[in-house]
Amino acid sequence: MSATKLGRKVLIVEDEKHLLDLYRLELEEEGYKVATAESGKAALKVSESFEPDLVVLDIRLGDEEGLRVLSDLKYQKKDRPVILNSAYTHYKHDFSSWSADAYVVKSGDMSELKDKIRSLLQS
Amino acid sequence: MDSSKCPLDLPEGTDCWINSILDGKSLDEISLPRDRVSSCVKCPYFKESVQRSMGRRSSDLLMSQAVSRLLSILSDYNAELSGMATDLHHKIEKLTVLKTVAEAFLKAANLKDCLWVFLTGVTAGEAYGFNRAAVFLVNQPRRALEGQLGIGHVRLEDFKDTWDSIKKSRLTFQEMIRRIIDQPDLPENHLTELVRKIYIPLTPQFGLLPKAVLERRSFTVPELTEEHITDRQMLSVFGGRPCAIVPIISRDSALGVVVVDNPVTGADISQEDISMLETLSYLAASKINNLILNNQLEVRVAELEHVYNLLQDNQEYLLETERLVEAGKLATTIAHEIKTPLVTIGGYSRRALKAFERGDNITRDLQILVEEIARLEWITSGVLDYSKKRTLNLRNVNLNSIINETLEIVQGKLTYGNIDVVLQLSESELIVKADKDRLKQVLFNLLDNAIQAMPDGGTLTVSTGTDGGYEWFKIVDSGCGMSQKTIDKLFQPFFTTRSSGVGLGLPVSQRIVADHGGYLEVSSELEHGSVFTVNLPVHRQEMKG
Repeated sequence: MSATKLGRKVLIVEDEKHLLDLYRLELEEEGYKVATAESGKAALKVSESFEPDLVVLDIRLGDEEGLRVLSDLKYQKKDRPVILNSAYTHYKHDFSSWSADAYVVKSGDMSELKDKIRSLLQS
Repeated sequence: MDSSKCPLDLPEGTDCWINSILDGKSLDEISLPRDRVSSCVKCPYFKESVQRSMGRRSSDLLMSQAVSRLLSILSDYNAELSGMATDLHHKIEKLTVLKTVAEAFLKAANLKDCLWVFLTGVTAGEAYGFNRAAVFLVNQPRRALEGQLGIGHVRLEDFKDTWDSIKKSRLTFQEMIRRIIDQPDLPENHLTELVRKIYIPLTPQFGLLPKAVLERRSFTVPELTEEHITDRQMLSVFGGRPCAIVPIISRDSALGVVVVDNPVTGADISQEDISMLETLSYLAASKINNLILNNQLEVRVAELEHVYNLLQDNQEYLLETERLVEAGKLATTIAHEIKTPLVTIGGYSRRALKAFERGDNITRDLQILVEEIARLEWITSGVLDYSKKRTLNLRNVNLNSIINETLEIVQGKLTYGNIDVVLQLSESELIVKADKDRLKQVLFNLLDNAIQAMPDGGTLTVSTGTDGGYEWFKIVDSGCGMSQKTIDKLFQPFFTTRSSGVGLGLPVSQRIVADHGGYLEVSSELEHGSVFTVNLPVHRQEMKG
């Protein structure tokens, strides 16, 4: 566990309960402080109080379009990195996804996501 | 009474010639107009004068001279009358030909038959008797005359055999015409073959054929040369002999020309022949015009049919494309729906493996794996349900008991979701002929949707009843309700407002209900909830597989 991760806060926005738990467990084991939200509305609320250093955002959220939450999150804090995490690959080509700092396609192997979080928090 | 005057006074002031003879005038001095002879022989004075003169020698001589003169006049007159009778007979024959041809035109179903009738009229010995005839019609879009049909022969030596065989066959003109109309395939001949190759632009410099059409008048030439016709093939057949060219004129346009000649008999083509031919052409023209219009109409209809077929093919192609798009959408949705549990399974499997290696408890991980795999199965069977047609296993089913059984399945969700259930079931037993499992599936889908619509709890009312030949059950929730936009898309496959779910529950339910001969109704009000009603027919004779 590297010193840089200690105390860095990550917010995970995901409407799939089991997946959300998986991300939380995996990232906590990496040494991050993790908060979770199951909807876009909750994400904006939690991010205000939790003040995460980075957000992992699922695009296809139940109540709201993830891309709209992305712009709201960026409006809240412009410099905070947001990683779009989706089962779809085609959002990569959507203009509104460009304001995200990284785009990770969902996978059972979470190493890509972890690498992206690490590198974004280091820069 | 003045004996020198005509007692009948015909015409006024005329001398009575018999009295003049009796008075001693010489025959040369007497004018005896032919038209008066018939009146004189009936005249009572004439008879009286003849009787009076009997026995007078001088008068007898005069009388015999007068009678001989009378006889000669009458004989001339008779010859003339018989000539007129022949003429009249000839004219009647030609009129009969016209009548036969006119009747045949009425029966001619196509242009080919019509032209055959026309040219047979022109060439048949009993009819107009030209040795040879060819017809050319105007092709309006190409502004040209095109050869259509010829009757007769290219080589003169071929005529004899044809004429002999016609003679032997003893076919009358009427019979010939009837054969043309009745025969499905008319014989081809060399003249027609040749004539069909002839194409003459419709401008005067190309000779008398276009000229006859453009000026709408007939031409006769004593010897057809290249001055009259520029087309070489035409010249090779008709050149060097007398020939007539008559336009075929309908009320408003010249449709073509008919060319006739008499290469075998060498008979003169008289002005009378031309005017009869003009009459026949005029008769043919209106029928030809109709058939040309009919042909054009047929071509248009064929074109339209072609376009229609193209459209139909296109429509099938579009439908196929639509199906492919739907299939594509299905594939995308399924891919996404399957991807999420697969990612979860992948993630937890890796965790479980690591935990197992460490000797940690992996029960929780395995529990999640089981749940996610169950979800995959659920998605898969949903897709199969939608895409496969199943045979209905029809039994008498009690609606009330199906409702109770299904409510038991969702009891956990109802309690957990803080949802009160109100049951308003019909007191009498409601029996429908249905596939119990499929009907339960419909009920489950509707109950699940109702529960999803009330995330903060609420009231679920389930009722049953009978109405107008249908037995129904109704699921009413007090949830968020739906906008009209959502209702409109509700039964479209893959439409979903939920984060999880394939969007197939309602389309599948609708299909099941329809397979039972019933229908599914929906009404909703935003913030007040939705009502789903399943109507099933009371009596159903036959079920769809």
